Amino acid sequence: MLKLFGLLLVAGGCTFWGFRAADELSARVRIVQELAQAVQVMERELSLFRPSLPVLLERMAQGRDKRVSDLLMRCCAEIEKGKNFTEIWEKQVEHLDIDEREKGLVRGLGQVLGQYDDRGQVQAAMGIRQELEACAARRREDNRTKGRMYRMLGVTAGGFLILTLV
Amino acid sequence: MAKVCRQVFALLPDRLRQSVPEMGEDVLAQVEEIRLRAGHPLALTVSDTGRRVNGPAVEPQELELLLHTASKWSVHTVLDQLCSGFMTIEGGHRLGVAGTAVMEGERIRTLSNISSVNIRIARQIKGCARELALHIEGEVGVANTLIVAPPGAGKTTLLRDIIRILSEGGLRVCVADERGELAAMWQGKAQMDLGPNTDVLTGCPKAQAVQIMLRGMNPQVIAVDEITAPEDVRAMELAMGCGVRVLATAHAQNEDDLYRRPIYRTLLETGVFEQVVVLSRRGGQRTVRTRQVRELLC
Repeated sequence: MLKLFGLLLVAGGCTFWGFRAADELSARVRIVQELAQAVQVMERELSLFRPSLPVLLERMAQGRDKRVSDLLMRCCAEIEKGKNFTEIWEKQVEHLDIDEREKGLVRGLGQVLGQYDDRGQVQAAMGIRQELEACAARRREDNRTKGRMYRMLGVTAGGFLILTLV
Repeated sequence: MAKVCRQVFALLPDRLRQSVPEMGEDVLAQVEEIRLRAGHPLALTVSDTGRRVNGPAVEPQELELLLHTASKWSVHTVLDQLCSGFMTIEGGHRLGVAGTAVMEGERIRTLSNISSVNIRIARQIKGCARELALHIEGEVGVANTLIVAPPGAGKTTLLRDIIRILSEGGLRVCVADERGELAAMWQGKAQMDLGPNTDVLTGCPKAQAVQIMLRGMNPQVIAVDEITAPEDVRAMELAMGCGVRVLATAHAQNEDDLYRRPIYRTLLETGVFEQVVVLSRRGGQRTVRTRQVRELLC
């Protein structure tokens, strides 16, 4: 009985690992997509209303994934305290669970936001958004192939261990 | 007032803020301007007299950082103002800016190489126009009034208080606040108290603002700060033609100086204004004189 329980635990653990790895992949896709959408909101808001940066960040945060909205709201709070936005942004972007290339793109926003005229910011944001969307598309493709592979690997590894241990 | 002054000091970059000496509440309350010039130490204007702080020389990057901090990293929202040489910040204070203008055709696109910043601390003196408001709001209603004074004599402060008093008295007042000096709007909120019945249109040329407000806000009184262009004069005529009472200010030393300037002479001759209030400031004392326009025209 104890052996059976142990085997089930091992199989369950492996499967869980596989599914978790796949979930992490899709979570990263979601973050990149959400960032691209937030940048799109920024473009629209700047083109029409020219809000101040704290208001803009708040509007970008509305309806976004918690990780992205938390990042935006933290930046907003720090600006209100009189801190340097470029420094805050760079620090916050470091905490995002995305790869270096994507971080580099998002970091680029911190060099532009609130520091140029609205048109200049919108142009820069458009370029960054297009690149983020391309990254998201690549990640979706990765997620489709690798996600399935991780799940299969988890289940297979679980089954293999059961067979080996039995 | 000392608290307001401390809030403004908080905007300064760390190194400069630390160079400001400890000051008593009474001195702080009298600080009118903070002047920063690249290559020179910070200077304060306390009650009309300059006072240089023995501190480090201001670096150009610190001036740029100050503009970013003061605009809450939103230069795009104040760029139009900056091209006119100033920006209004939270609390209604004004940052005058000098540097190198980047031109695009005839117009200034932006200012670069910022070399001087002058922070004028906004003060609202509630009640300073109480007596004058009695003259303006007579038994027959509000008299169309032009407030005349040289720069720094307090005409904007006076007009602001008149607006507040009329608004609190129940009149619908519209303010065409082109340069944001009267209401000092910050993110949709007036930083100065203009009363409960006041509507403000800011950032828009006065002549256009007057037309917009006449069309949409059904005002009883329209107030504008600093009439400077023929279009402003036409807008005043338009408002009067619609039966709206008009309050405005103009730059001039006195009534004679006013009448010597073609634009103001035209303005007086249109018959829009019934009275002129002349402000002057001598030795820190402000004097207020009221003259009827028909006397001036004789």
